Amino acid sequence: MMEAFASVEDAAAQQLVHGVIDGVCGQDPPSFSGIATGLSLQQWTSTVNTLTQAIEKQFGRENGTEEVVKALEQSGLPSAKGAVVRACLDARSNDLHKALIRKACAVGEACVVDFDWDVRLAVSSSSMHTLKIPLVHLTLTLQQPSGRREDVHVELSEEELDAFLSSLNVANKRVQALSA
Amino acid sequence: MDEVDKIILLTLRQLGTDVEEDVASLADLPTKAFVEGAARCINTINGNDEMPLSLPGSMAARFRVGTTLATACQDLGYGSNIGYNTFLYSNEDDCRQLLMWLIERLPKETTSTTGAETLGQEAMLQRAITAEIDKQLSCPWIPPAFHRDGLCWSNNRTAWHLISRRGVRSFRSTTLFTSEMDAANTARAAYETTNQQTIPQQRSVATSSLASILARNSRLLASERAREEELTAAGRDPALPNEDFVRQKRTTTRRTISAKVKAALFNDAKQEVDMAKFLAKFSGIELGKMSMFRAKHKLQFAKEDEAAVAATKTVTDEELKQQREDELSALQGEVEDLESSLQAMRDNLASLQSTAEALAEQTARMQEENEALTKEQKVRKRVLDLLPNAEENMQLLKDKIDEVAAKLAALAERWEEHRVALIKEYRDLKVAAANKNSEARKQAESIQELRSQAKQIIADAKQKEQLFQQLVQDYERMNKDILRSSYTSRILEIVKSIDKQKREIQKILVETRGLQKDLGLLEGKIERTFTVAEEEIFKESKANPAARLAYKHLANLHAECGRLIDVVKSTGTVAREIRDLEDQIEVEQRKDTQKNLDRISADLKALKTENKQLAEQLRKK
Repeated sequence: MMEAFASVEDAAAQQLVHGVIDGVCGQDPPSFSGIATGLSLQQWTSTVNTLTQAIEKQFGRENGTEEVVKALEQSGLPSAKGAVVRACLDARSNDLHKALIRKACAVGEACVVDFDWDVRLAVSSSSMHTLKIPLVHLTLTLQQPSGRREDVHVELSEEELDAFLSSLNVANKRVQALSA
Repeated sequence: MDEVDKIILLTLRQLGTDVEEDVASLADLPTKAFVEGAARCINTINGNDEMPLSLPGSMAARFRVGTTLATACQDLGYGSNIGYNTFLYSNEDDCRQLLMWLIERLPKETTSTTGAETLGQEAMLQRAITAEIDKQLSCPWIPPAFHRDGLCWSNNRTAWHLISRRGVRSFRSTTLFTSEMDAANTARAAYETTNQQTIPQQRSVATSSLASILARNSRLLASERAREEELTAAGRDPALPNEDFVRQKRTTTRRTISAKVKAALFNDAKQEVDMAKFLAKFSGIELGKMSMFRAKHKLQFAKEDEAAVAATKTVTDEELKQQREDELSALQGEVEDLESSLQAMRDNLASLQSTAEALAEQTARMQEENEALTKEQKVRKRVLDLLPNAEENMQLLKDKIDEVAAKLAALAERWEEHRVALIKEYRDLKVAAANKNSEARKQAESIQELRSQAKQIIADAKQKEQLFQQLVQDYERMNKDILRSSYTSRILEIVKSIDKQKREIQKILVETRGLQKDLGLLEGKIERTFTVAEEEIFKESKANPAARLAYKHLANLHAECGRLIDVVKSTGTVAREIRDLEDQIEVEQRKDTQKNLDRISADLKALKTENKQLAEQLRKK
């Protein structure tokens, strides 16, 4: 699987490994056209997949860099490229660490990864001439376990927003109590 | 005149003219202020800044400024005679006349904007919404694809509103990779210089760079604030480095989390997993290290090899070779034998060890049994010894038991004493710890309170400032209003007095007309009487010579009287002319001609010297 990776030049290999790490850390995975590796599409896919899996599975262990390199060598990585991979992992250890913690913290089925809000003012309705009711439009972006993201839109009146915030506060207090 | 002067000066000050406070009337107004005021008035009327506000130093430039102002006034339609001299060598009357005329032509103040300030914020918002909806309703419909980014700018790009959802992106943030600014980490630094991409270049950021940056920034802010709060709650200064605190916190957090996870796992596994089974999984693993025995063996072999090499060195090559081969085979056989024996010994050792362990266990068990049996035996023996005189011994035992019980009670009492003291101490310490904790929390709370108070005070201050400004504006407006009302009342008074004067003038005119009528009547009467008398005397004079003389005298008398009346009339006209002249003299005197003449002559001198200088400069060139 990783034999083809041996033929890639060091600079491109570095770029590729960094791209894979970007993907693991939550950005888009590397693009085939973006990096001049000289690999065929099939080789590219298998290389990227092997790298991704090795990093995702092994980096969290104790002495993670070595574990990743060992796993890659088992799937055919020449030792000369092992140094390249090791250098990349050393450079990005902080980013990877944070990404892995984030993954570990996302315990539930789906978790909130982002949110957005805006305030609207209902001026009148079909039955009332003037209303003047402020409404909060809250958009929660949920990430499913499959990696798919979907938006949940909620419209809250002032009291509903207060109730929502107080329940969030209660949850936050529980978490604080756990860490204290 | 005083009132008019005050109004003029006030207006000039409102226009921003630099009029000194002690100037009370136009007579005291310096030429500089007069020119500035007139120029400001003209600028305000024309709505531009064309007129120069101050007089320059050189005479020629002064003259030009005066001429410009005069032409501007003529262009505005000023009727009276005006020229540069009006501005440069002003007299009180001209000055007053011109300023009054200019102030009358000042544009009226717009008063439509004053109503909005008194309305509340809510009403303002309502009004803004209404205006916005009105504007959107009045806009013609344009296909959404034609709107650029869904935005419509209005009021010369100062306000915008959304027209469609096109071009509006949801607030999606992604992870950003930024520099860690850690020069010590060389691998990281190398990555940052060669491979790391700038934020706009990072691929998934392209559509959400702003959102990502905002989210990252607010996350950093929030974490920093949480850290500060935690540190202040713990009674530390957040500005100082608190590495030991952070480390301590991290370890405690880890410990709690691991304890919780372990407890959860243990609860799950408790029912089925036996510890022995768990350990059995590891029993098959070979240890990588060399055992002591093997190491020793290896060393021995090495020594033997060396000895063999030393012995064979003296023998010839062939023999040596043969010998070596033989030796090698022999040695190999030996090695194999040794290895097999070693294996056998190892197996033996293992079995022996296991039996030894089993035996040791058995021994221990038997020893335990032995000990238990000896104890039992001792007790039984004592009991058997005591049996012969059981009564006595039982009594003795009872006594002893009582004694022990009493001792126990005493001990319990003493223990109680100690215990009370210790419990008290424990409670005190507990209370103190709680106090300390609550004090820290109280302090944190008070800090929070103070912060919110500060915020509130700042908000209050802002509000008060706004109120102050509004009041100042109100005050200015009111001040003006008061002046205006007083002026209007005065003007009304003046108008009333003018009316009164007019009525009196009318009365006098009526009287004069009555007198003139009387005069005419009397003149006619005299004329008629004269002609009648003349006719009578003329008739008489034909017969009577004395009457002829009388007629002559009459004619003379008439002529003399007529001359007398003419003289009286001419005296009246002369007196009127004299009065006119006197008036003129007064006017001329008021114009300060002498003073102005002096000024003009001085300016002339200055002009002449300037000209001379210019001529000299020209000659030099």
